[in-house]
Amino acid sequence: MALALVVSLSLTTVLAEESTTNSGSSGKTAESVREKLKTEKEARKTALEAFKTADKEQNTARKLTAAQNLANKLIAERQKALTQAKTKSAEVKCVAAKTDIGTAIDAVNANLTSQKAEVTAATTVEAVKTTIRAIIDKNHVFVAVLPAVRGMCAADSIKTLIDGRLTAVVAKIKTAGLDTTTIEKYLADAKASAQSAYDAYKAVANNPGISTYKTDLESAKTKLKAAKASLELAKIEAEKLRDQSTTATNTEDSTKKAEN
Amino acid sequence: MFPEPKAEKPASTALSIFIAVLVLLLITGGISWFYFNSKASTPEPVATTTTPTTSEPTSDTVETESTITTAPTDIASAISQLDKELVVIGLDQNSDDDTIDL
Repeated sequence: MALALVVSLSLTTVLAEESTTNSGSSGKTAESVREKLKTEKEARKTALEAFKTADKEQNTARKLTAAQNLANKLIAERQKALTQAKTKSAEVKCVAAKTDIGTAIDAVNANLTSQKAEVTAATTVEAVKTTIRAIIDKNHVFVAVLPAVRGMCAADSIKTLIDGRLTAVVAKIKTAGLDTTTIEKYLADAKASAQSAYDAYKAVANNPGISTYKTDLESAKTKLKAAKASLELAKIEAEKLRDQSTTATNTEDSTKKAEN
Repeated sequence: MFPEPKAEKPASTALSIFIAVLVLLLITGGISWFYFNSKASTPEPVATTTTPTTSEPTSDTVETESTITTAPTDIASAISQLDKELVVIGLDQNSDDDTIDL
């Protein structure tokens, strides 16, 4: 009986896993790492409330503990976000960017680890408050690192697509005798813009505490949009070439039939 | 005169349980076989993203043999994915998670 139960349970587990896998792969929607950190966010909010309560009570010892707890929650939330972002970058198609993303994330993580030690060593509430401000402003994990890393990955994916599949297709079309000058130009433009966007995002990811991070990110986004615009033109040109290729094939077939 | 009705022997109870277990195993085994068999015959869905392996590919041509017929679709998918990424990037940039009121 026990054996039967084990077999049934295993089967149920397999089916459940299968259903999870299917639901995960259906509909590839982009979701921020930030959105997944609900537990950590709630813990941070609770710690903030506790700190504010302790602040009102004027109990210095309790205030210090509450401030340290809040700082640790802020660090934990950010470190989890960074870990997830690093894992995600390895999962998606941004192979070349993986190393750069890893380097940027590791640097911010190291900052947070050092700030954690500062929090533990702090003996006054003001010192912890200063560290809390640094945890946020020197790292800008949510408003700078995450979007920058995501932008690097997106830009890298475009470059990979162009250098890989699309270059191969263009070579084939060229060999077939069609004029590829226009599509090559659009693809080159898209690649150049994607490279500029990549470099701009990378600069932010490597220095998220910079005061100009907002404008730097906007500038990077503009470059990514330019890459998208060139890709759209390349798509139109690819459609034209596809139609030309189909017409050429049909004409060839008709000629062969007529000859037979 | 007549023999008293016999109480069920423990041996026959054990036999009943044994047969019940056998039947259950047979049913479970059948379902498992059917499931794994159907799974094996169904081709795995092709994911839109690939997990990089230890050796980094230099080109996508190995995994997908693209032609001019599929090129516009490839580009359209990339544009669509890029749009989604731009939306998330925008949301992250404007989030209030990096602000705190002490």
